[in-house]
Amino acid sequence: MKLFELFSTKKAFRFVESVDKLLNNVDTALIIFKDGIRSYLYNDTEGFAENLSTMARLEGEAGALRREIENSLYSRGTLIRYRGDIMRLLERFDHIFTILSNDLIQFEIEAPNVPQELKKEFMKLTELATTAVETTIPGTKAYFTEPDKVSETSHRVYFYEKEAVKLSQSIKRTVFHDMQHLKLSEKFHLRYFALHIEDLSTAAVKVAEQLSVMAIKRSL
Amino acid sequence: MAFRILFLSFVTFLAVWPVIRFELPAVMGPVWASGADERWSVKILLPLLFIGALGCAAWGVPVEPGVLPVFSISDLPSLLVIVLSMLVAVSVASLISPSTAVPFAFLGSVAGLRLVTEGSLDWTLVARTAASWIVAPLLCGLLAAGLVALTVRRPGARPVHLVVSDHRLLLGCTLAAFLLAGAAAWNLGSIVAVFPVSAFGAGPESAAVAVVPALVLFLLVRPEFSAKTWHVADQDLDFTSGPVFAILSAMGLTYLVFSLPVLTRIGLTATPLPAPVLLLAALVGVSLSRRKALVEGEKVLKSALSSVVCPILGLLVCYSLSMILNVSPEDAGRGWNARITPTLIVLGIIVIAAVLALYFRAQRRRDLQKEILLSRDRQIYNAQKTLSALEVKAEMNERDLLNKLEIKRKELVDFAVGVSEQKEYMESVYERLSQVRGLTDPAEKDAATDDLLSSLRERMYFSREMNDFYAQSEILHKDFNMRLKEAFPNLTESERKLAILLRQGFSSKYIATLMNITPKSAEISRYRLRIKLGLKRSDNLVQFIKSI
Repeated sequence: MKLFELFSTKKAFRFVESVDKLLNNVDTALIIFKDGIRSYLYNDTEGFAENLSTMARLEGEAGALRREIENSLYSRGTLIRYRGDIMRLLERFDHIFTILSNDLIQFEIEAPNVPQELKKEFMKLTELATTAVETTIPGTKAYFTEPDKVSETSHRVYFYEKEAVKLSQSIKRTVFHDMQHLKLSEKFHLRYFALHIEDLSTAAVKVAEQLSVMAIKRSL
Repeated sequence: MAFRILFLSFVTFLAVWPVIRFELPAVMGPVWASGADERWSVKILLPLLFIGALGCAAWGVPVEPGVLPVFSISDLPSLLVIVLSMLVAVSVASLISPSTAVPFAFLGSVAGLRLVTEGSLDWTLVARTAASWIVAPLLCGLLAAGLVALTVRRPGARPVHLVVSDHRLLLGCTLAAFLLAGAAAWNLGSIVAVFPVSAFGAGPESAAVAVVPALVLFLLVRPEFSAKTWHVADQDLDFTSGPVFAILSAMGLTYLVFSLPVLTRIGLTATPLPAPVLLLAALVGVSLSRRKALVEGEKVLKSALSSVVCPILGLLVCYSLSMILNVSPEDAGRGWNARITPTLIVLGIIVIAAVLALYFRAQRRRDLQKEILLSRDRQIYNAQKTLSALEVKAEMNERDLLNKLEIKRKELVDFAVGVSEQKEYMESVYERLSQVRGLTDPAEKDAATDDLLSSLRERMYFSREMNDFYAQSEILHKDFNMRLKEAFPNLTESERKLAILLRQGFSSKYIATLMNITPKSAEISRYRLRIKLGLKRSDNLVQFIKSI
């Protein structure tokens, strides 16, 4: 009888495992993304193609995990007060996956011409944006175990996002003010890519905000 | 016999109504809030447990003899009086607070009847019952506070994953929900036990007497019950599983404790308890434990006042009704028909009064709805009016701008044409002057000079610019020109020009210059225009033209 399933913690632990797996996937995807950008900027075509396929695989896995968690949340009577928030959090992570995957694909399709002097800046921007997302992972884990510690990680996310925005603006300024040898279309192209990488940090801030609200709700 | 069954069914129907409306949402609300009933097994087992416990209490397992009387089948009129008094008391008390106390109103009504039939009350029992009514919410609050303190994680303790802790709490909530459902049904069942259902036997007849009215009523008030229960679950208990578990357990334990006869040993008594009051007490306990106000003080005070009003009002109403209906020991010997007739008359009056009250209430609601609709319509009308005015203004502005644009365009074209004409004219004057200089005959020279001068004069007075001025004025005052033509079709072209110039505020002197006439002629033209416009001596010509 299903009533007796209440006494079993097997499904609860499976749910914990799924959430951890999803967060690990996010972490791996960030590493792949960084590596992919580096490969593109420094013309490692083979490495870039490999990163692209790994990213597609990770995105698929994350989607399956998200559906599994969703199913688990709604088919069992657990987390009745938190399921909406948890689903929203998972959707935010899903959005991050979409950005990571789309950005790499756009690099592959549009092949922007990044001047040599901007390669370092682009790499740094990628580092900052991915660090902002990385910081949300311990925050998410803290939400499930020690919600009081969520605010600590949120501050760091906001800091990295600000730095990413600053750097992105600096890149755009350099492109439009100092690089007269570039065509306007090339300038627009570079601005567009800076904006896309910056979007990653904005998505991280959204996760941090969601986590902050969820942590407050847990204390009610 | 059939009439008695019907009568008892009707009384049961009336008695169950406030229980479903006020008591059940407060019992089921915490269960729904905990999510314990999301499993089908729990969804089925919980009502079964509730009905089972209620049935056990109703079919001869009394909570404690003495608190409530045992009615026989011949005492049905008295039972009706009690139920009616309870309904009146609950209806009035619910105006103070929706968290009202139905069992208190019932016991108050029973006391009122006893006062009439026995002449006095067992004051020890009254004191014990009153003490129990005070102690029960206090105990519930304390239990809730203690349980919340137990569920809070201590600093330094090993962190537990949310899913695991929530799973444990869900298990706790499910067990607590069963405890609450069973204990509440057992406790409130003592009220049902008052109804002499068992007098009809243990067979299907008695079951039908009890179950059918309750079921019919439940189906009737189900939407309201669901709405109220959701309100409790979603609004009053909108917090995490820990406090919900504490509330469920505290309420269940309190119901259980106050259903045990052992309470008499400590000077209290087993008594039916109101679920909304216990729920509020548990919420206060949780608030105190977490140092966060989860319930407003005003709500608690109103509920306390309502709980005090319920038994007192029940007692007074029941006492008065019993006196009116002569429900006393001396009348006990009277026949069934003799006793039931005045009861039915009073019941009829109450039903008519209730129907009238409901009708007027519905009428008031309809009026209010109409008023709201009317005010909304008015708002929409005003908004539309403002919008139309804005549209008209925008249209006029656009037209004005288009006119200006047209004038500017014309000015530009005219300027270009003028420049070219001027050039041509200057060239012709230059040519003619050269010819005049070449003439040797003084007479011919004078004639040619006069000819040139007259040409220049003509140019001065009948220049294109003058015509353009009128043309532009006409464009600028297109609407005015149109209206003037419509209102006064007999005006000549020059009179219309004069009207336009007057509208623009030119004096007679300027008008004379612009129209190439003497000031005297301008005055005469004004006079003629006044006559054609049909103005009196006292009327102002310029103001009249501006008003067209």
